[in-house]
Amino acid sequence: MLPGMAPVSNADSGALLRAGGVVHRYGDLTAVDDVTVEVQRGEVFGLLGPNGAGKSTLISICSGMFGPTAGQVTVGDRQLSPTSRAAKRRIGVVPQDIALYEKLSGRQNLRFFGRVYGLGGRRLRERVEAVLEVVGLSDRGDDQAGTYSGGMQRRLNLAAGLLHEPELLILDEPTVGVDPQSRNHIFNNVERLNRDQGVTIVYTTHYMEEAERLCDRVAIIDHGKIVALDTPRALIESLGGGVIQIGIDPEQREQVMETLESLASVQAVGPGPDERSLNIEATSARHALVDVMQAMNAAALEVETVRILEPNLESVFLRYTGRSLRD
Amino acid sequence: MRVTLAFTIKEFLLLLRDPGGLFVLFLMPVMFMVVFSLALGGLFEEGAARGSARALEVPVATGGAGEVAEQVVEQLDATEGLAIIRERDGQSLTADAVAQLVADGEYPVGVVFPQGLTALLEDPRILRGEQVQPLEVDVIVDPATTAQVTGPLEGALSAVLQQVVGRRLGEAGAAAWFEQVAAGLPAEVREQLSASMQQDGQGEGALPVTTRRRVPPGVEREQFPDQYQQNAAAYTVMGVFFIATVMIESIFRERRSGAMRRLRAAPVGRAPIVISKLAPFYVVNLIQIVIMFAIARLAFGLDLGFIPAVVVVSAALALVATGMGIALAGVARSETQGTGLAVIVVLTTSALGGVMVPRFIMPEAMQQIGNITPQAWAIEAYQDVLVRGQGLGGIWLEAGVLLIFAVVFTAIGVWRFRFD
Repeated sequence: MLPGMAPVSNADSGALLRAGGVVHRYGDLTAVDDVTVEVQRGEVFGLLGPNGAGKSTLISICSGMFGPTAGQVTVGDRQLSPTSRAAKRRIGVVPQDIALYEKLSGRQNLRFFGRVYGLGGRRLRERVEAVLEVVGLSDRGDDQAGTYSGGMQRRLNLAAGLLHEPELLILDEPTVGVDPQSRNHIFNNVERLNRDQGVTIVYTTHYMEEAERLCDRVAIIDHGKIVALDTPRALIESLGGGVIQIGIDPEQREQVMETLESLASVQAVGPGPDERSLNIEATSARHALVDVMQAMNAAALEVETVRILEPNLESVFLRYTGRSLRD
Repeated sequence: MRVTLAFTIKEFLLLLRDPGGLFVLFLMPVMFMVVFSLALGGLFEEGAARGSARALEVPVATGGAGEVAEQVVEQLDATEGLAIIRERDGQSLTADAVAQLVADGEYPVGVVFPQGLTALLEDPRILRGEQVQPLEVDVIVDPATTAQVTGPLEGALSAVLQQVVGRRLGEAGAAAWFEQVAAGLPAEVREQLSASMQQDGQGEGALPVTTRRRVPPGVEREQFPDQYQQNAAAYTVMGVFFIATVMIESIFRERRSGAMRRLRAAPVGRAPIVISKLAPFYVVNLIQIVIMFAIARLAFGLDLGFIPAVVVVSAALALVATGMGIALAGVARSETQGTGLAVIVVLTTSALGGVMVPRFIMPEAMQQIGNITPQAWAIEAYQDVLVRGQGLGGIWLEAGVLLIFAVVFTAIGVWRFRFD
């Protein structure tokens, strides 16, 4: 168990965070479009989505920063809103930004955020020391945060979210721009918090390997909607032996689909991320590629681009969104 | 309360590590006060008569003073730089009315002629050179007015009195009177006085009519603001408003770092966060004021008057300044825009409010415009205490207006406050 961290009770199992029919609009733009999702108590839940997909808006709503245009979010049995203090106290937020005061020392930063979360006196001092130890910054706690490396700042950022021992920890891109050592440190912290303290974690990232390593379940959000939600393994297995994504002439779309569906090595042909592409699922993408190209040549059908999506989470993401996670 | 305390500690720590902010808040206003006090000292010295750019309006009461007073007033009115006010709402001004106008601050100075002035000058005893009780023409002065304003009037009044009264008495009567009053003087002094009278027509001190400077009823101390009273109040007020630039930088820095987003996710409401942002800067403002007045007291011997009244004005002033800071931060779209806007607003309103140039020497229209600035009310309140010796009863109006400014500014700030 991490020092100074009390385990979260498992007595109340089931969903800790529930978003039901959440919609959020900015003027005419619908950033979050009728999202319903549950995060189970004790799990690490990954939220993946390209820039502009609505991920940050959904995270902000689930952090209680602002309320949705429609729908509702609950934490345990309490409805979450910007004014619901009880629900907010159960959440720890680690924003994507280094949300710290560079001219204050690590300890001064933590004391400030601790007081904001209602800690004081001896309890505050204990918690500050405990979380500094958790993130490995006890010996640098009196240095100004501005003198820390990017990785150390990220770790301090994480520490600030742990001060009040939240049941639910929301980590928004916690490893952006950090060195491998700090990244590993953060991974270990997340795993230990979840495993040893039972802290439920919502984790957003651009790095598939992080999601695959850390997350029990992953949701992919695109254009404001959840387009896929399952365990990483199930999502990867849904790709079968991989996916071939080909670019085609839209006017030949029907003919191409008919041609490819007749191939024995192809399991299914479905729409790609846009009208100029198709996803071809196969037991072995590499072996099926030869058959696909031969059949297309024989039918005098044009192939504009070819892409093999290996069976991993990156391919799952590409399959559902048509974009790389780092786009 | 814990949140407010947290913000206060945090902001103090940040400010202590911000040399630029410390300079703007503490050193700059002190520098202004010292430099302007030393550089413009002569401007505020009593008796340093210099004409102002526009005519000085002087309410005058002549009731019962007779034709001598009328002649004096006529000549005063013809004097360049003076404009005599005889009536108000169609009624001739009385002595009480003139005193009230000055007490109300509508005019910096007024003149009241004594009853029986003309009759006195026709008294045969005077023509025979006998000594009589001299009459006094009252110059009613707002203690907050400088000699720059009253000097020209007093000089002109003395000169005209000398001319009109001297002519009235006649050379013979005056000479006889001179012989009478100067009989006991040494010969050398008599020669000098006689030469002076021949040169000037009549010795000023020898006239049976003198001028007497008075303050309006209800105003206890007859005292002009010196450069320290003017500048301590004015530059304290201006310095306090520069808190707006520091607040804007702090708020935008917090937004930029994402700390505001983190605070938004914290179990604290919007209003407590905004108020907690105000509180530390309010305390900084109070410290500024204490330092400014302490320097003025210790270095320049400024008499602070009734301290509780200074405290009330300072408390209200700091509320306005922090309110303006949060309002400007809410209105601005960027930090650069915000700090630029703050500098413009603070300097402009300070100028209009009488920081750089006392309002009483501004044209009437500018004085009216100045009333829309909190600086004008704050300086007026401080001068009520420092110069006019007034207590809480004398500053309630100004303090009330300052509180209204504070409420309006803070309401705008809370309404427009953005976390990102």
